[in-house]
Amino acid sequence: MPFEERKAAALDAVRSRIDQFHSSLIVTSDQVRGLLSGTGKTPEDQNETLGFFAKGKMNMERFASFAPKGPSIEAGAEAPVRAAQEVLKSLMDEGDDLFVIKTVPGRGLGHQLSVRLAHIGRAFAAARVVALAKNDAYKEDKHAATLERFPYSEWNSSERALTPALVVEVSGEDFKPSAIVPLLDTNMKIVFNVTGDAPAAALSRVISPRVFVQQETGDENLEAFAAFNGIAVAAFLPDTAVSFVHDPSAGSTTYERFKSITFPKEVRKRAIGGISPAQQAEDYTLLESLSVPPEIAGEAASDPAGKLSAWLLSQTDLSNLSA
Amino acid sequence: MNKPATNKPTVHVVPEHTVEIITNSGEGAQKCAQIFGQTCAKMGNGVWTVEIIPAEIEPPHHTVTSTSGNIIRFGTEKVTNWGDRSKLAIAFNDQVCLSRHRLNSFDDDCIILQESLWENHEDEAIRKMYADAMEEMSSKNYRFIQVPIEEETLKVVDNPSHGKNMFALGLLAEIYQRDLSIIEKQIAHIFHKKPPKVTELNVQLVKNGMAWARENLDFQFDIETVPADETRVVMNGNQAAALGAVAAGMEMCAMYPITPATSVSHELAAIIENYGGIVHQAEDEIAAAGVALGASFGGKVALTVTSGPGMALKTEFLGLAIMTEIPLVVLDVQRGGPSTGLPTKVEQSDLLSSLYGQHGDAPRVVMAPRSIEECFHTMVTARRIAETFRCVVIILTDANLATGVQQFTKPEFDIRWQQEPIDFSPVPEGLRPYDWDHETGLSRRFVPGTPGGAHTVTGLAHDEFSNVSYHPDSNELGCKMRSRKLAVFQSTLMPPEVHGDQEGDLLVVGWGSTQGAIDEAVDRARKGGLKVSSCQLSFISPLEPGLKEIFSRFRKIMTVEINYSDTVGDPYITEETRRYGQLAWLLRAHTLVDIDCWTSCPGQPLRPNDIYNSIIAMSEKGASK
Repeated sequence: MPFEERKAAALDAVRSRIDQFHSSLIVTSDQVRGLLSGTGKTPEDQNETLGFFAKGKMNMERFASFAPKGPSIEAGAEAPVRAAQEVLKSLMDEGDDLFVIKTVPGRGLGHQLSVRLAHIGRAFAAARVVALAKNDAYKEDKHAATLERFPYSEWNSSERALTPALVVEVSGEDFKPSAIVPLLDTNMKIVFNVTGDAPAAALSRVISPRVFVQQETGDENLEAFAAFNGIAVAAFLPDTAVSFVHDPSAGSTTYERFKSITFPKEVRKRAIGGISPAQQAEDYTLLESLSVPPEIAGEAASDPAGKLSAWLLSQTDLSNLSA
Repeated sequence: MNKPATNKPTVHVVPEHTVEIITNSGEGAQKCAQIFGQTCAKMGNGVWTVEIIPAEIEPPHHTVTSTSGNIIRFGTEKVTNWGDRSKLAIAFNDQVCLSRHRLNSFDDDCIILQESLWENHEDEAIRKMYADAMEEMSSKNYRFIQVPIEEETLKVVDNPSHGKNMFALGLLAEIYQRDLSIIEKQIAHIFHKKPPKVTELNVQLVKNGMAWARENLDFQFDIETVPADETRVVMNGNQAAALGAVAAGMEMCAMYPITPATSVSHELAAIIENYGGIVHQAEDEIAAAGVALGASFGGKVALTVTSGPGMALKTEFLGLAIMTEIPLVVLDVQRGGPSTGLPTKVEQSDLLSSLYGQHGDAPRVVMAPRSIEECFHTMVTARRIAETFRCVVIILTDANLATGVQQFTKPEFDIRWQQEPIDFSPVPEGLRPYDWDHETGLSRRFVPGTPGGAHTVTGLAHDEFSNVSYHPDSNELGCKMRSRKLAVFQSTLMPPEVHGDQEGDLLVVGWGSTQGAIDEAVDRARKGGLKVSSCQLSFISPLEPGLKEIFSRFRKIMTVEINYSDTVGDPYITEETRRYGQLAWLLRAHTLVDIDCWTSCPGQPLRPNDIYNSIIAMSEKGASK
C-alpha cells in the first residue's frame, strides 16, 4: 500500500476517536461562548442580539426582560476565559493536522509524541481554566502556562478517557515503540506509518494483556483496530517485518489473542536505528514465543488428561498461525 | 415595423426603465441579466430584477411555454419592486416575445430588439409561426427592431447558444451607456474558473454588441447614476436569507430540495462549514424537519428550509416542536399552490396554513420579511425569538423575494447576533423541565448534558416534569402556557408604521414582499389627491399590536395580497359566500373590522399600477365603515 494510502487508512481507522475529541471541543467551545455572552449585559448588547430587523418593530428592552438569563462570569474572570476560548478555537482550526505527527529524525519518538499530547492537552487545560475562572479560583501564575502546554502526565482519568488518536509518520530508524509505553493508558490509540527498513518485530515489546497491537505489512485494513475499545497500537511496516494482530478480546491467554501472525521469509541482520541484530532477534523470538500454543510435554504428555489437552489444542483453529 | 437607423442616436433622459431579456430556457438570459443588473447597481442605480423561469426543466424551444428570462428595473432612485410594464425587451425569438405580450408585460410603446433569424427562416412552419406571432402583437404599438443576434455571435464563437446572451448584454450596455470596465470585471468574475479564453470571448461578444448598437440604433437612454456613499451588496432573497442564517449563528440547516427554496441551502452549503455549521440534505421533507428539531434539542441553532408542499409534510414535526417547546426556525419560501401548484411562481398563499395548519392548538410565531434586505436580518431576529420563547418561528418569504435581486446596505456583522443562549449550568434542585412561569409561560430550556437536567421528552401531553399526563388540568395548563408565550411575545412588538398620512379614506394593508409595490401605488394615488395610506405587516402571528386603533383612523381598510379571493357578483359569490384574501380573513377575525381585499394570484409579483387601479376602484366604491 502506498504511503499516502496508508496515511488515509490510518486516519480512517481513528476517525471515530478524532470525531469524538472534536465533538468535545465544540461542546466546550459552545459552553464557553455561552458563558462569555453573559458578559454583555448593557441595554445596547441586549438590543443588538435581536438584530436590525427588530429595530422599530420591537421593544427590545421589554424583549430582553423575557430572555433567559444565561450563565455569566465576573468581569475579572473574562480574560482567562477568552484565552481559553482562543485555545479551543485554535485547536479546532487545526483539524486533522492536530492528530498527525510527522516526526523529525533523531529527536526521539517518545519525546515528540509527548510534545504533541501536551499541545492537545491544552483543550483540557482550557476547560479547567474556565471552571477555575467561574469559581474565582484561577491563578494567573499557576494556571496560565497550562494553556501553552498541558502534558499527558497531568491529564486526569476523565481527560485520558477522551484521549484522541494519533497518526505518526516515522522512519524505521526512529521507530522505537518502547518509548511510547508510558503513553499507553486508558484509551490511547496510535497508528504508526513507518518508512524505510524497520525492526521486524518492532511492536513485540508493547504487547500486554489489554493492549491491541497490530503490525501490518500488506494491504490488510485496520478494521479490528478501529473497532477495538481500549488501548491500541498499530503500525504499517515494510514487508520485511512480521505481520500480526494481537487482540485482547480474542482470549485470555497470550497465544489465543494472536488472531493472525505471518513471519517474513527472511530477516535482515543489520542494526537499525541503534538496535542491534541481537536485540532485534530477541524481539523476534519474544513474538514467536508469545504467539505459539503451548505444547504438552513431560509426564503430562503420556497421561490421559495430557493427551486430551493435546487433542483439544489440536482441534483449535490455528490455521492462520505459522511459525 | 421599425427598422434600425444609422443617424446619431437620440438620447432620452428618463428616471428609470424596465428591461426584459427573454430567451428559450438555457440560452443564458439569467447570466446576461445578472451582469447587467450588477453593473447598474455598481454604477449607482437602484435595481430590482425578477426571474422568468419555466416550471419545466427543459421545455421545447421556440414555443410560448419555453420562455426563460429576466426583468430588470433600474433607476436613479431606490427600486423596491419590479414595476409596471417593460419599456425595452431583447427577444431571442418571436414565440418567447409572444408569451410576454400575452401576459401584457410590454408597455404599449415598448422597443423590442428581436432576433432577425426567424422572419426569413428556411422552414416554412417557422416563418408562419413568426408571421402569426407578429400579427397577434400588431395590436400594440411596439417598435420592433430586427437584430442579427445569432449571425453576429457566430463571428466570435461556434455555438451561438453560448454567446448570444453576451451579445445582447452588449446591446444593453450601449443603449444605457453602461461602464464596460465594470462589465468586464463581472464577466471575469463569473468565468474565473474557466480558461481565460472564455472570458476573452465573452468580452468580445459584449464589445461586438455595443458596436452593433452604435452603428444601427437611433436611440439611447440616459438614467442618471448616483454613486453610493456606503458599501452595498447585491443579492437575491435566498442568498440574503442564507447569509443571514450564518450571521445569526445557525449551525445546522436540514432541508430537502424544493423550488424555490433550494438555493438557500446551496448558498449555505458553500459557506456554512467555514463557520462551524453544516447543511444536511435529508431523505425527505419530514426527515429534514426531524433532523433540525433533533439538532435544536441537542442545543444547536437549527433551521429548516422549504416551500409550501414541504411545509405540509413537516407539519407533524412542527407539532412535536411546539409540544416539546424546542426552538425551531422554519423558512418557507412560498410558491403557488395547492399541491405542486406553481413551483417557480410567486404566491402568498401559505399564510393561513402557516398559522393553523396543525392539529391541536399549536401556537407559533410567523414573520414576513418585506424586502430582500429584510430576508437577511429576519434570520437574526427569528433565531432570538425562537430561543427566548422556546417556540417555532416560521418565516414566510416568497419567490418574488427569493429570486429577485436588489442592492442594499452591507450589513455590519455584530458578534452579539450569535450570542449563545444555552445555559449548561447545573439545573437547580427541584427545577422541572417545564417549570412554567404561570404569568409568562416561559421556562428554562434543558439541553441534554446539562447536569441535573435529564428528562424524558414526549409529544404526548405532559406535566411540568415532562411525564406523560392525561389529567384534564395538566393538558389545560400546557395549552395555556404555550399560548401565553405568544401573548407575552406580542407585548414586545410595536404597532406597525403607517406609510403616508396617519388617517384618511383608505388604508392598504399588505404583508411580506408586496411592500415596495404597495407603497409605490399608494404614493401615486396620493399624488393624485387620494387620502390613501399603507401599512405593511411584518408579524402575522402574533399580529402587531394596535391594529384596531390604526384601522379606526381610516374609512376603509383593504388588504392587497398575492393569493386568491372571490369577487362578489361572480356566479354564486355573495357577501355571504365570498372567500377573502388570507390576511383579510385573519384581520377581520382579529379586529372585527369589515376589511375588504384586493388580491390576485397570477403567479407573478403584483404591479404597482394594478394595485393603483384597485385603490381607485375601492375609492370610487366609496364604502364607509
